[in-house]
Amino acid sequence: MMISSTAFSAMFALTSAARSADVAIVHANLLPISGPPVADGTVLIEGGRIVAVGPGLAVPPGTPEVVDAAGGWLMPGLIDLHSHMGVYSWPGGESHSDGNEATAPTTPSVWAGDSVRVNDPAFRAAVAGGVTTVLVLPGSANLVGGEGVVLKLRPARTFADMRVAGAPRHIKMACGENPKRVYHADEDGPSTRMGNVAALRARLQAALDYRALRSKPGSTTPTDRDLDVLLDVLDGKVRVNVHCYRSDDIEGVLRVMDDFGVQINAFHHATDAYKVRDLLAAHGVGIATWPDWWGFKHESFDAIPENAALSKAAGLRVATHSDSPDTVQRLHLEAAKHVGVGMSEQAAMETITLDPAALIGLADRIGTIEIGKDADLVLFNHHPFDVRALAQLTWIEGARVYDRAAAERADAQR
Amino acid sequence: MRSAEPWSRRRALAGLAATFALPRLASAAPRSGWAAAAPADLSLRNAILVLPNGAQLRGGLSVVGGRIQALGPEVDQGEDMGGDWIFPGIFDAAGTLGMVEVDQESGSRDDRDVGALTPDARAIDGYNPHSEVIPVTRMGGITGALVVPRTSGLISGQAAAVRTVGDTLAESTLRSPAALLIRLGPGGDAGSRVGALRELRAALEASPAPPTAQKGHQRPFATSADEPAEAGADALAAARRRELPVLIHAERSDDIERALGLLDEWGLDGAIWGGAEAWMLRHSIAEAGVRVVLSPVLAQPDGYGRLGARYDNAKQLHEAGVALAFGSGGAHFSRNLRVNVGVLTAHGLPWAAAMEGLCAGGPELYGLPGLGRLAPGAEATFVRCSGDPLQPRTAIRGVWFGGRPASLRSHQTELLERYQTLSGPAAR
Repeated sequence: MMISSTAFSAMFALTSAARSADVAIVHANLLPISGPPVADGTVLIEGGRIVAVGPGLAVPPGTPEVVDAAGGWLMPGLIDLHSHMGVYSWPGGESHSDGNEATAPTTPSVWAGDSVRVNDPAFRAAVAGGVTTVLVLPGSANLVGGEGVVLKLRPARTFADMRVAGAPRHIKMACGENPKRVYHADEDGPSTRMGNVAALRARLQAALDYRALRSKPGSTTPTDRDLDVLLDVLDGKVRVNVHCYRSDDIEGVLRVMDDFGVQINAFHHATDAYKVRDLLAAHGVGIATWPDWWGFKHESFDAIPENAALSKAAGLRVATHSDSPDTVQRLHLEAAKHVGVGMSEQAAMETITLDPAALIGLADRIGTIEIGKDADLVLFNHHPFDVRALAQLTWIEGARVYDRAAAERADAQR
Repeated sequence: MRSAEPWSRRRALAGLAATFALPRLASAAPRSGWAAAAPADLSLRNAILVLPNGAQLRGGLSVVGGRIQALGPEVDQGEDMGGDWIFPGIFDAAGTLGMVEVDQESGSRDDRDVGALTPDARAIDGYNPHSEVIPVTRMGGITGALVVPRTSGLISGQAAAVRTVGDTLAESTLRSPAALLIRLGPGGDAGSRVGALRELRAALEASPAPPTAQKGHQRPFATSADEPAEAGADALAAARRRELPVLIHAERSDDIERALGLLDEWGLDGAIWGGAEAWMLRHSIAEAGVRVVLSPVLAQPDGYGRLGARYDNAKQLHEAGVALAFGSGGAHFSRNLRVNVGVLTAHGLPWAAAMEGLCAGGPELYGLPGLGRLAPGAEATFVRCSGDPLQPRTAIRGVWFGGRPASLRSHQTELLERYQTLSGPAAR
């Protein structure tokens, strides 16, 4: 993704001619991700989009909001590919347990969007960490858990205002220990890994059989919303995200999906990805993982801190995900940990910006600071990989959605 | 090997060894990294040394007989540290290291199913010095830990202080018992707070009263390991004699207030574990001279027990004069302590206070003299880091116990070696 500094300068030259702007951010240490860092960087925003970016650009006269970012670090808003915010809202408890429709091993037609609590305080906490876009997924109790939803973390009154219109559809699947643990023999299983794989295969076949029946003239086969969603998966209309830890589970899911011609978008958690990174690269599958979570279940016992670095070096898209309303607030430090085990700073930055943007399917809109993209930005007071770094300002589509100084003033008055 | 042991572990463990009468595992290959044959004399040079006041001193460090003899620019001999940092090693002040191998594998857990009121339960009875988690933890810069018998009991028993090294229980144990665990708040075995306090008071009333009023008394074993606190069913009595510190888990401010009340009413010596809303009572806590073991370090307002959690909790406590320590609360995530505590510095906790709480807080609380500080005469237990240990981009590069280098191999490094280059036919 790196481009030469000459080409980069040329691009700036073309763009410095923005004649008007709503917001100008000036004198920032700029981390565009699409290119190398820029000193004394300017970003101009108009209509919620980035209209100019480069070193020391002139601010159009009359720009209503000019932010002096001297000493700060400006980067694209951070993106979390694996969140349960809203579906397991704070404060946690049975009242807010809305993430796993654990009533059947496959529930393709449920949608995480229908569980989201718009006023989950965790959304605000994540914005204070510089996160602007998340993929909220159902949990991993089910082989097919349902569809996810892409949200922007603007302080919205309605769910509709958080949802990213036009974002690709995503479905959540799972393998390994969770699905086999939740259902029991008296509930028709599955209760083993082989049961998991057979059940997934059977359900996909059932969707094909259902289509064949429905296509017969005079068919009276009733509509089945679950099978309709699986047909959309088989037809490539939905991005497939599979919760999967162990490398042999990864192989098993790939065997099934290869047989049914389904492209997998990303394996999530994927703590064993490093063992089969060539297989994942050959299949064009990305991963979403943590830098250091391990040991909470047996299938995560072989997690190593170098997993992301090895996978990234093998050419995979790697998202540093949180799966947590806590660590999502410090996604920049989670990515920084990759640097300590050998990943380049640029690559580590990509794991919280460009790579999750691509895996969500919105790389044309978010994930880098480039002309035409959504003005989703975060300004840190230190380099984002410095432990002292705190987001000072966060913008979504040009609107200021977090202001640390204002938040602290309001807090002091409580 | 025993003669090279710098710190009088033998005395501290006399009671324990007698209880278990464990044979030395002479035939078992050493796995923990306790390099038995290595000399306890050592010289390191060209390092940045983290001193107890937080100052960073350029120079070297010399060790004689397992203790630090000298440190500073005058030590210019020995192994070149290449400008790396040396700090005293982190003490995880409350967790379940060695009690749990895999959270969701019941056969690998010894941190639960004890009972509700079990002051005589001992964590060391569930500790596995060969847990694969220990080397991973050690390579996160942790050299010691308080291991709790379990977390959900009302009086859940006696915690043990352990080193993150050792092939046997005897080698691993620093002190047992090191604290008596009490838990306030919701979700425990007693159900409601009302029920829990009722049971707790009844248990305290049933315990033998101390012979004389001991308020303000310096507990004896903080300075001497010769008379270990009485283990067994009378642990409560030992606590009432102020021979065993009481670690009270409390997160919500009213629970912390109750904990302070219990300590005062019963004349107990103790600390708060948890402390998510401690900032609300910082002046009372400071006045009582009670330490707070923050755990989790970055508590979130994610449940009804801690809706007042905030990032500047540690800063506010420190400014009020409350001494701190930090606990991971679990088995696997001690290694995240250094960066999580680093985050507290972003929210106003001074760097020196952060390092002091990380390294010296636990040893001070549990009476482990000579640990947690780089100073002449202190035990030569310390960690080498590629830079500031509170920063996420740095890496741990060495760990020494009593001047002896520990192995840097773990389940995870072995996996890395195996898969760094992929073997066999290319997968597709």
